[in-house]
Amino acid sequence: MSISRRGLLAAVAGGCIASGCATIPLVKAGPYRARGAGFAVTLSRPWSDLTAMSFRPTGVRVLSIDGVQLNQLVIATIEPQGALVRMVDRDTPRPLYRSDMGETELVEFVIDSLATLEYQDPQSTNLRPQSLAGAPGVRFDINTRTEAGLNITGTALVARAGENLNLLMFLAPSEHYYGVFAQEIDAVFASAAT
Amino acid sequence: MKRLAAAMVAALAVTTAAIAQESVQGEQIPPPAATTQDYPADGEPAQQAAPDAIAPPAQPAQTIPPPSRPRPEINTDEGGLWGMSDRAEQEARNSGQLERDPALNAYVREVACRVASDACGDIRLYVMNRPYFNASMAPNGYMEVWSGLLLRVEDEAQLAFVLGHEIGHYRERHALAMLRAVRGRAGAAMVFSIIAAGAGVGIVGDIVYLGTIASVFGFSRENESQADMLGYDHAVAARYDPHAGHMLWSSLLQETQASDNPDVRRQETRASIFRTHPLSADRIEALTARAAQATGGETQRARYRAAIRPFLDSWLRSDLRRRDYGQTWFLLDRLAAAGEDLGVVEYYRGEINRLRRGDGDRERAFQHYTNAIAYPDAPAATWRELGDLALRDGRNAEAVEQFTAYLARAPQAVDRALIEARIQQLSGGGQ
Repeated sequence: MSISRRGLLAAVAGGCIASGCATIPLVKAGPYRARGAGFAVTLSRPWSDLTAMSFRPTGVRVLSIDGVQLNQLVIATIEPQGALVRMVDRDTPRPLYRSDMGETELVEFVIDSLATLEYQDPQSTNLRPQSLAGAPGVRFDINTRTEAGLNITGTALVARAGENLNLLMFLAPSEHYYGVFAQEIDAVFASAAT
Repeated sequence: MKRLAAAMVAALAVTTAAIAQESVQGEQIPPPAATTQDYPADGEPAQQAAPDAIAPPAQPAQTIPPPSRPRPEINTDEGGLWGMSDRAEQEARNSGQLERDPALNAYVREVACRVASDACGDIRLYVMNRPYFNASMAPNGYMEVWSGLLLRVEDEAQLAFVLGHEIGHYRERHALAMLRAVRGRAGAAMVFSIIAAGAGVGIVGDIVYLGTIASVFGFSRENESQADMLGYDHAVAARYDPHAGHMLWSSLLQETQASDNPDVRRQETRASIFRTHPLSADRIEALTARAAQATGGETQRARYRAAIRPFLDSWLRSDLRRRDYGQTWFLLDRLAAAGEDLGVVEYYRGEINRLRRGDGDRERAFQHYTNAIAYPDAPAATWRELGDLALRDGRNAEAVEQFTAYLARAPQAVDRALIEARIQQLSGGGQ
């Protein structure tokens, strides 16, 4: 790419950001099937789709009410050799989903993926069987903290669907935010259907 | 990719330059609490700590002498440097990566003080849970030691050498010299704003951070050679093994060559202390020659290993998450060299094989897990992994046996409900 073309693209991108032309899609309350997802959920209120700002791979949607730092609902269907996170540096290995993973390895895949983001020493707790959209899966809770030291609580549900992995995950600050959404998130998880 | 990284650094600089400029030119950041609150009665007069400051871990009051150098005036370049260091220290103090274990912090600080001698009172030490080999000491006395360094250092003498090396940079004011050198090339405030904002996120953030500080705090080879010799002198004066320095640097270069990543092997400095401390063969040769003339000194290996043993499991897990299995394997070989902690080491060798999934890895994982359970320090998870392997091979009765053994060893296991459900399912289904 020539310098002038690169500069032009940068100018267009900068101007776009400055003028606020980037839009945030609104996901309406009710049944919702994310693009590429192998299942649908029912949302009890509108959510903002912040996927475009979240630097995630194809098949991973990120919804939020107040911004991803305060609450984020991740809805994903990941193909074999796919990832939950995208790395800035292509040379840095990232956790990859493999269709032969056992139940605890699926949890490890999610936790290790979080460790590559801003989350410090993420830990899974309370692993238990729970189905996702009719398929047997694993539900677990997440405890971690941000780089800046904010305690984060989460919950996730993973289940294989054929060769793919279906995933629901919610993360929010432990103080106030997680508790406010916990019941609603349980209902979202329970609503998952193919 | 390099362009992208450069653009990111430039963006960081632009977005934070204004704040940094204000700090350097006019606003004096309150000194960190630990610099002032714990001095004995005959030390420097205590200043008021910042009201929202969180006390750093384990800075024993009764043993800290007063600082060896006064705080520079804020309207000097060195004062500005201290101001930026204060800001970085404040972030470290609040960081989610800060390791607060009192015993570990006290131990590392004790070693630092032993080699720092009369500069002990200058040091405020923070152990950070970051899985890379790095240590640094800022001009204001704020020192970071990363868990990746503690995992790779073999004994107390090597730790003493690397801390002495950093203290050498501090004593000789190498950062100030560097600042004055770069001031003609770039706005100093902008440069230090990169440091302030450079701590990225996660494992990638650690690498970006290393690269960022390398671009700013990359000392000259002359500085490094001098700091090596000062580190050597400090460590030997504290009666540590004179061979520690060259052995450590050599080992780290070997680990770099053991990397799975060809780029890491080609760029010896990637994601290591050598981005900020350029290493050359002549530095190792100089340390080797110097040590050859010395006698005596202690490694304090057993004492060091006892201090880090409680953290081996969690640090190795973090290292494994980097997914550079070649480097982690090299590290495990070093940890096993003295025949200690073999249950943990064998478990993690099995973990590498399990995660890598190459040809023959499954069989090797089974062998290493089996080796691990022969040692009393094998993590309980070893039995769960053996159960998983048995389950995959259709050996259901053995899987039930291993899962049951796992739960017996870890009755509070976070996955107890899941494992119990699995046992129930297998028991009902039979072989």
